[in-house]
Amino acid sequence: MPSLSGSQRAALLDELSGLRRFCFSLTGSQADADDLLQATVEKVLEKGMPDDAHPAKWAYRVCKNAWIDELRAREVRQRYPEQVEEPDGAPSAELVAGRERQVSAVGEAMEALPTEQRLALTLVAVEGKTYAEAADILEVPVGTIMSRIARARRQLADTIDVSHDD
Amino acid sequence: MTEHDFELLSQYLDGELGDAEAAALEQRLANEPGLRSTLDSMRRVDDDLRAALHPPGCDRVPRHVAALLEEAGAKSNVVPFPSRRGRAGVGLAVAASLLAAVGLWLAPQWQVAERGAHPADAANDLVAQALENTPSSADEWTPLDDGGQLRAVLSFAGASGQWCREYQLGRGTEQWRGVACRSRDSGAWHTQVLVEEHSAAAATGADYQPAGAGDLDTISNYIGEHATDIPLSASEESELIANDWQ
Repeated sequence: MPSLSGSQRAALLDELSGLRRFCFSLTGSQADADDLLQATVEKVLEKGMPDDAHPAKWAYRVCKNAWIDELRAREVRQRYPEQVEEPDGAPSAELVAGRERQVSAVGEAMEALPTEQRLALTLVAVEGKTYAEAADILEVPVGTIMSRIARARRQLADTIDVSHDD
Repeated sequence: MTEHDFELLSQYLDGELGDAEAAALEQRLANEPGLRSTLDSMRRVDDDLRAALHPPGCDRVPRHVAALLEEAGAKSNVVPFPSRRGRAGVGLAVAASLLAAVGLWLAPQWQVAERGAHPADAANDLVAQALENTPSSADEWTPLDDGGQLRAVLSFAGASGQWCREYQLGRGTEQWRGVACRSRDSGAWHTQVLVEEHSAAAATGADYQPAGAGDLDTISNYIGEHATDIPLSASEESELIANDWQ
């Protein structure tokens, strides 16, 4: 089994919080985020990492691939986001604050985006990566990241504007 | 609004435009209410996204996941101790026993440890020195003057505000894994839990028996219950060591 060097493991340990956040961004569920993070770490440990790889970018890439594998396996996406789901017996929608409705709307609109747009937008707009970093992680040119994010934002803005007009 | 305009606004939001392009866009924003309104709308989308996808606690790393990486480091370490069970449960059976050494003091060098009853206690001044000064490592064991070896595994902030370290201690064919915390007042390292990882008899003898699930997991459980955050990074730990853990 390939093994990681001490510095690679230390770098991954440093990055675990950010990875966990990314996992939540992708799955929208605390439990699923834990599972995805664990799968990511296990895959990195199992397959190892090239000596010249950037550990954090490598881990995000593995995480992204693990999530896509999971989506393909399930053929359904997770309900999302968890923190605005209404539990049984929750107050009716009329009682939910406008802000929460808005956040919920953007979450649902995000879920409807093509996977590649959602990944690019999550990495940049939510996780704060640069276009170059996102391009490295997603293994596409920087120009592709730029256009995917612009299309995603346009789609989300249009969807939310429509929902506000309703 | 053209596709190019959306791309410009998006790049602007992400700080990816050059100075000249940004200035030109800002000039247009000042004169084009429609463009400005679209930018505001895109900003709101970003704010909502972050609110939806970054709730409190979303970056909390489960202890068992961090342990996968830490344990991988322990497993890759080749020292004269023939077997070691992974905390994640790789099915490698060794006889491990919880020594229940809670309360064992690892005295700093100005204290003399003559208790002698337990191997981990016999040189506790050396252990304390090693814990005080040795960075955590996946690969390197620090030789102790009495012939033993210590490897600091990780450092973390304990619930009571003191710094704690997980470590492995080897002496002869025996090896232990423990957690010690540093008193904020005296600077003494105090062992919180200590587990025997391996003994020669366990590795070779007829008494070979599966380790109970609770043995080494005791370490994980202790850290999981008492750590207030994920383990310190190498740089954070190095800074603490340089500042005498203050």
